[in-house]
Amino acid sequence: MVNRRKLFLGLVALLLLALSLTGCGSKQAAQGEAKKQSEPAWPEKDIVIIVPYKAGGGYDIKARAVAPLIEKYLPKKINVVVKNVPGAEAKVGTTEMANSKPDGYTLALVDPIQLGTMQAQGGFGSVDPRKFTFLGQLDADASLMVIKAGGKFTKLEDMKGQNMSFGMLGTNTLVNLAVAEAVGAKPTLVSYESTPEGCLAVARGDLDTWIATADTVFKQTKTLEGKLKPVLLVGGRSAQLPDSIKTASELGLKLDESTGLCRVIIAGPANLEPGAKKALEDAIGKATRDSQFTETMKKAGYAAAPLGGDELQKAVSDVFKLIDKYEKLIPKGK
Amino acid sequence: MWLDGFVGALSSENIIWLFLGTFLGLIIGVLPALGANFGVALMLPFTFGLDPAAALIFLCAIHASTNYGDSIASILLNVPGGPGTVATCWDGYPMAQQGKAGQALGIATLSSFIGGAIAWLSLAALAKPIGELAMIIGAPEYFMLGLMALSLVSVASRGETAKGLIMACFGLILSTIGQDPVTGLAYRFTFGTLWLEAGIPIVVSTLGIFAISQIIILFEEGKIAGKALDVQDSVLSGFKEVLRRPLTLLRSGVVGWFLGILPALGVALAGITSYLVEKNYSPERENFGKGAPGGVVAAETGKGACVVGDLIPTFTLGIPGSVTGAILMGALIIHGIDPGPRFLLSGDLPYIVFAGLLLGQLSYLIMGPLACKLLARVIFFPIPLLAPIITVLCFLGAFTERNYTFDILLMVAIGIMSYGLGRIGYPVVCMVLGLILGPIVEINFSRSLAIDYGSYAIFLHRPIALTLLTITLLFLAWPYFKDRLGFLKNAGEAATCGSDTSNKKHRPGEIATLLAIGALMALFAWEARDFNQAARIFPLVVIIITFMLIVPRLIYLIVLARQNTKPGAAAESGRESRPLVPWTVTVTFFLIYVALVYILGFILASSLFVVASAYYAGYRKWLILAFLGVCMGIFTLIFADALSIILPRGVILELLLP
Repeated sequence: MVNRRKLFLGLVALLLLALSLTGCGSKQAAQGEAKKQSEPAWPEKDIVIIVPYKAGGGYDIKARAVAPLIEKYLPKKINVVVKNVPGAEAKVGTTEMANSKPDGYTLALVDPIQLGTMQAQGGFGSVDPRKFTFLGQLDADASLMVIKAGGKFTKLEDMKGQNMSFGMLGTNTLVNLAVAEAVGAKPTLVSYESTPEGCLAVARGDLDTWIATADTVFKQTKTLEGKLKPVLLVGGRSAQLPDSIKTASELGLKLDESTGLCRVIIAGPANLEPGAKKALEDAIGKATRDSQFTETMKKAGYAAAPLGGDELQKAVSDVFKLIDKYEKLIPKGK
Repeated sequence: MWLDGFVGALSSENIIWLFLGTFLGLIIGVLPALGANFGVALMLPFTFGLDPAAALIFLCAIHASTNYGDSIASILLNVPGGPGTVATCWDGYPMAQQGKAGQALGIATLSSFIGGAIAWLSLAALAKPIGELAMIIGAPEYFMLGLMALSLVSVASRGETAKGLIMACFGLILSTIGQDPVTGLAYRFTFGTLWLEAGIPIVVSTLGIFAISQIIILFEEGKIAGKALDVQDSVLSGFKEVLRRPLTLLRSGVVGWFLGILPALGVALAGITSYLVEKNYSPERENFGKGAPGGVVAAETGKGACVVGDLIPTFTLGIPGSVTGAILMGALIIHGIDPGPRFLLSGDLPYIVFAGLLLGQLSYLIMGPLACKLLARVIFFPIPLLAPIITVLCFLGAFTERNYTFDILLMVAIGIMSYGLGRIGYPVVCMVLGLILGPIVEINFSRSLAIDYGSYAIFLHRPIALTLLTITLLFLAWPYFKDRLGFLKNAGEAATCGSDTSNKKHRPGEIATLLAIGALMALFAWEARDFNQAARIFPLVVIIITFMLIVPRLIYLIVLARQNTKPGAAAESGRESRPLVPWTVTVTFFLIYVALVYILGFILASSLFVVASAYYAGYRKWLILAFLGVCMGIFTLIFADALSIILPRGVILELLLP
């Protein structure tokens, strides 16, 4: 009886182990078969795209829009899974990606301006985001600055020499500081959780200005029905915004437009395995140019802006040079 | 347009999605630890291909029924189904212990519905004016609201004031762990741990405080505590109890609704605040905590009103009132509706959404009581089987919040701490208040100062903030002025810091705990010297206040201890009955389970934990145990696969299958 019990339990334990392996290894088995048929060696298992924010937000929507299309264009049939790892303004999720094996199976959505700013603030520790492997851009949005309609500031010139509170989101620190410098204001950065919250604070008069991704901010100007006044576009003209809103260059401001260009890029850890890198760059490039992706983004209120290859590497490199240029302005942490 | 909305919502296809959403939501809600955020977020991707009306009705039904379903676990098992039903446990479970589980469930059903209906009516009738209200409530008002909510500590800890305040301060200091919300530059009290930089989330802390500590008690007691909890009494009797308390419905509904329409305050706060406010005013307040129906009515009405109230800023301003609201807002945008003042101008669809919200409430009102009878069968499970299963669900819930394995460890650590604090008579609800309100108070204080560029005079220029402050002070002071004799008595009790409440048996434990808290505060104060000034102020203020509370209490306890050193004086009440599983063993099992998750992966660790802990707790039917272990493995596997969650694989599997 005892022996039978032990045998039974042993069989159960084996079954459980098999379940665990099955849960994790079914794709490997399938790929094992495929390998025999001289298919490409990579990928062999599911790819994870880390979204370093909570579910339901802009990054999440974009990741879920592109994931099935990346699956479609990869050389082998595997799943591309979106995993939300929020915390510390994208630091936790980004660090998880950075510390993962550079085998192409763990990627993350990043914004190089935010990476560079956080690094300049000392927030990344030993992780060097400049060494990430940047694979493909999903979109790039200019930043829109709004003030309270009928408030104490009516135009940019009024801000010279004045104390001004700028709403801070973590991703917009650089553009806040660059705009403050350009208009001659003395900035105080005030933390808010989201663009709708920050815009409401501006409309209420609790905050002097909010600068964030143009599409999202412009929606708030409609939502808040004339309580907000857009005064400046940083990062170039945005197709969805009226021409009456001028860019920094059009207004003659001494301000690098790139400080306000928010990019959403899929990146992997440093020294990504070359075969994986090539396959991912190809798949992401095709996915972001797929009409289905464009449609899904448009439906969600975003505009796809695919970019890859050397152009993307140059754009990212220029961002980090920009961070170096403004490094003295960026407040430092512990 | 309204009629078109209801007609559209009641089409045959949408009705199917309504009931499917309700059914799924009830199951998710009943599972302890998996709340509405989880349910809505994970069902969202399944709706991308659906017709917009069907998709939104489905999500609204899940939103409504998960929030309702959370109450079932709270009442039957004393384990909160979600953060919004923490307060439901306090009287719901005692009612169940008294053989009134059906009544409690009926109360939860109808109260939750009425709260939701109150908020729905306000949404439908007053969306625009309520939206305007959000325009005038800013950072100074939020700060004062936070202080007002903190003042409820005095109600939560009545008779245990000093202990309650210490717990509130402890919760406040725990809430400061992580990236500072003021500058974002300081990572406070993380001691190099990356995952602590993201702070302690409410779901993980409430799971630890109320679920894990309750599981330890379940293992100790070894049976569903009290009498048989068969749901034989009528759910309808609960409906009658609700209808007998119109004032409670009104008070709690207003509190929950108000907290719901202000973004970011959260359903956990609504349930607890409604309960505590009602405890202050209810004629049956003496029975609160012992199975008072009014307590369940208050908690559930407040929660129900907040759940729907949260959607008001979401729809009218495009500002999500909660995480679930944010997800629903994302769903609206994906399906072509722009939240905001123009919400109602987007054709029929917004009216269908409104109708779907109300129908979601109605559908759980109908299906809920039926589900209660069915789902309540869970209480017949032997504790040695039930407690491990609930533990696995808690571990799943903690992990899925942020996909951190570390959160599981955090939850267990908080749970062990809460169990210990509860044993020595410290009101952990005050710690929860501190945890929830700390960030609200700190960030809104900082934002308030920024309005006038650092001037404290801002609070004098905001009439609503001043009014809230006045109400808070009156609320705190009123009990002392209510009756002159009562004033003298109460003042005496307050001055002696609850001298009657120090239990001799727990005194050494209390002294040790206070010393540990003091040491932790000292360590935090030392750490804080490196933070920038803005990040340092709030924690230091809390630390100073904590020391001002701990030191007199310690002195008092030590003096008392010396007075009671006469021979025989230490003889206390008789020995407690032998626990089924001592708390030390349960804690050891939890810690081994956490370690196994890291080593063997979640699925295997869960199966082994369930089998081992059930066996240790005395369940010896090998076939059932083995079957349960396998089922638990299959369940977690299906769960993860179906909902695209990547569970931890464990170091060994990573090595075997890189």
